[in-house]
Amino acid sequence: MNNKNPFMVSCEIASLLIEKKLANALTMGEKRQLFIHNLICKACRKYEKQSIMLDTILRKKIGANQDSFKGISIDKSLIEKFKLQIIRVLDNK
Amino acid sequence: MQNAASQVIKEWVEIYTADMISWAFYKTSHKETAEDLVQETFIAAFLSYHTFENKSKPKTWLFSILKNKIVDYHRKCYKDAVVPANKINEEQSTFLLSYLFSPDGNWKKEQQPVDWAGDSEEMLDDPEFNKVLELCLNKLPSGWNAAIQLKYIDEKDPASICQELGVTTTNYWQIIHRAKLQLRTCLETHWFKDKR
Repeated sequence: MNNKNPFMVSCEIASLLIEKKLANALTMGEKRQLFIHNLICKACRKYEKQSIMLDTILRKKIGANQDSFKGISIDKSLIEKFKLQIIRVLDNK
Repeated sequence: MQNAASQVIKEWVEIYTADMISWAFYKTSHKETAEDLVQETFIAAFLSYHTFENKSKPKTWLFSILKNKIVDYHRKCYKDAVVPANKINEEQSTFLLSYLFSPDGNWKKEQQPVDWAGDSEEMLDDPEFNKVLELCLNKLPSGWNAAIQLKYIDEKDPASICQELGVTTTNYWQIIHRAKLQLRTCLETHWFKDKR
């Protein structure tokens, strides 16, 4: 794609616009630029799909709250030691 | 610690510590940090016990304090990493962009995205995938990782994250853009490529 036409943006710019699109943060002009770019660029259409998938994954991974969290088991004896430590700290408060 | 609060908090320490540690560890990938945050949470709970209303469950209350501490932690990581180290981030950006894109800004042929197989739900149930994802998140420059954590931890709008981090929106989108590009590349290399 050439960058001489003002409606044309590079893949680097398009992939940035995709991030903004996922957060509904595009201006009208940017929407048009991305729309045109995606019409002719298969790689960026794929990138957009993957970026949406990454969003879903990160939202679940990072946004998981304590109810949906499946738990990581941590050595029980460490936990017991740590409980005693907290109680000691609290006793000094 | 002499009053009625003390007995209650000690009981909570007994009941909830294991869950809280494991959650904090999951969110920070750092054992000592997880312990510090949980300890701070119990201290904060003790000091503000008078504000606890029995309307909410103790567990919910404790986890909401802990969650705020985790957000503060990522915000601090971001500031520590990005503010004094802008130059390193810039170098990292330049390196990443020139790895993926040719000088005219279009994908290098060998870096063009190809279809990913798999369903995100099933992937997150796969411990192997989780390992790779954690590895890729940890490989991000720490400021980028912190920005990603803040973006997804509670779905705040970009404007308030920018305000929290003290960056312009342009800068924020650049960070998110670079971080997502790097994560995508890392997952492609360490996971999706082998699944084809």
